[in-house]
Amino acid sequence: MNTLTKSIKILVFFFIAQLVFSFIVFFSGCRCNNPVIPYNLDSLSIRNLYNADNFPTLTESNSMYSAAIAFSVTLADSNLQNPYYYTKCSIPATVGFTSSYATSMDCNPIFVPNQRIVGINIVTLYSINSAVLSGADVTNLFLARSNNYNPELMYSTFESLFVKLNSQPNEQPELNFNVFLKVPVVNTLARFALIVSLSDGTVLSDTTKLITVIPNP
Amino acid sequence: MVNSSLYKGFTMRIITTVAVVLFVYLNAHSQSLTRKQINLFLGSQTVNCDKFMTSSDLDFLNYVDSEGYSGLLGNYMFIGIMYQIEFKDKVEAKVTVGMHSDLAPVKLNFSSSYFFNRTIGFGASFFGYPQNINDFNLHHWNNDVGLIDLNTNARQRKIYNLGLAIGPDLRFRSSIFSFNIKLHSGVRWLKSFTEGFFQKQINGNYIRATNYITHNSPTFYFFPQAEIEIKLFKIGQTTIGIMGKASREWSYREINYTKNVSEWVNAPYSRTVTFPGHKYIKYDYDVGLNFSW
Repeated sequence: MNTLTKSIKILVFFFIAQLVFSFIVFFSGCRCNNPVIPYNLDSLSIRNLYNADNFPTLTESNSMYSAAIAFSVTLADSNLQNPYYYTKCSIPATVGFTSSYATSMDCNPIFVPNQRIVGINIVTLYSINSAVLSGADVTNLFLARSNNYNPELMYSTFESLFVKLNSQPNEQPELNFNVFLKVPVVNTLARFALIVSLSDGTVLSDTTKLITVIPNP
Repeated sequence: MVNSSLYKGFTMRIITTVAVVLFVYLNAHSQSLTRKQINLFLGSQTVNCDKFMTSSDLDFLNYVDSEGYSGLLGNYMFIGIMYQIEFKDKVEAKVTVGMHSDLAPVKLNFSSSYFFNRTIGFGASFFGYPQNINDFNLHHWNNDVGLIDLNTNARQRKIYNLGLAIGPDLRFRSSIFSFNIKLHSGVRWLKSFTEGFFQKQINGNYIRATNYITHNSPTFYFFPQAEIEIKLFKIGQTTIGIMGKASREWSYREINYTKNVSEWVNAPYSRTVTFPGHKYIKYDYDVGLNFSW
C-alpha cells in the first residue's frame, strides 16, 4: 500500500510537471526560427491591370481605358518552381507526453532576394500623344504602388517604392508592384518596355502586351 | 452611440471638475442649504440651420441633422435629470444631464446664479451636447463628377457643441409656483474633428485624398431659458410637482477647417476654408416631474 501511494505521488508529480511544461510551450507559442531563404531575381513578368473600377485587378483582357493604363510587375526566381514554402515550427522537446495544439503551427520562411532593385526605365513603343512619341522614355509618366490590396493608398515614386521593396521581408520569393500611367493615351494602341536594373548589374526587361486603347467616355 | 472621446477635451474636464467640486462643497455645507430639488423629465430638441449649397467646398453645416420642428418629437428626444441646490436663498447651482436612446450622459448643462434679492440675479451657464451630421459625402458625390468615393458607406459623424455664457437671471416664486428666466449670452464652439475622403477617377488612374481638420470656430450665441414649476402635493418632507422648461439657442455658426489635398502621391497642399455664418436656432422643450425638499 505504501509503495502504491508513493507511486501515485510520483505519477501525480510527473503529470503536474508535464502540465506545467505543456502550458509553457503553449503560451510561448510555436518557436519559429524564421528561416531565411535567399533567392535570385532573374525573371521579370508583366500582367495587365484593370483599373477602371474602385481598385486594380489582374485581367487577361488586352483592352484598357486611355486614362487607366496600368500593369502589374513581378520579379521572381525562375528556378523556384513552386514558390509557396512552409516550414514546420520546431516544438521544444518535453519530457513525457507530446503537447497537442488546436491550431496550425506552420511558420513562413522569410525570402530575401540576393539583389536589390536600383532603377527602372519604361519606354513607350507607341506614341502616347503628339508630344510623347514612340521610343521615348516615359518613366516619369508612371507612378507605382506596392500593395494592391489596399485601394486607399496613394501612389508613390519609383525611388520610394524601391526603398520599401528592398527593405521589407517577403513571405513569397518574389517582388511585386503595380505601375500606373498618369497621362491618358491619345492613340489606339499602346505598348511599353520595362527595364529593371538590379544591384549586381543584372538588367531584366520585358514588354507589355499590345494594348487596345479605349477612349475614355 | 457612445462617443467616449467627447469627454477627453481639456475644457470639458475642467468645467466638469469645477462643477463637481462646487456641488460637493455645497452639499458638505448642507445645513446652509435652504432647498434641494430634482427634476426627472422628457426632452425634445429641434434644430433649424440655414443651408448654403452653392459653396464649392464642403460645408459640414449643410448636413447637420436639422429637419426643423416637426411635431412634438423634434430631431432629438432625450430623457434627463436635473439636480439643483440653493444656498442661503442667494445662490443656485444646477446640473442637468440628458441622455438619448443610448443612455449615455452626453447632453450637459451646468448653471449657477447669484441673486441680489428675491427676483433679480446674475448667472453663468455652460452647455455641451452632441449633434449628428449626416451624408456629408453627398457634397463630393454631387460636385466631383467622374470621381468615385472609395468609401461607399453612408457617412455620419457626431460632433460636440460647447458653450459658455453669462447673463441676468430672474425668478418669481410663490408657495406653489416658481418661474425662472435666464437671459444668457456667450461664446459657443465646436470640438474639432477630422474627416477624410479618398476618391478615384472612374475609368482612370487618378486618385485624390482629401482630409479635413476642423477648427473650433467660436461664435457668439444667445441662450434664453424659461422654466416653470408647479407644486401639487406633499409626501413626508418632499413636495412633488410638475415642471416645464423651454430654451432657445440663437447663433450664426460656422465649421471652418484646414483642407489638405493630395493628388496622385502623398504630397498634400493645404488651405484654410472659412464659411459665412449659418443662422442656427436650437429649441429645447422639457416636461417632467419635480421633487423638492
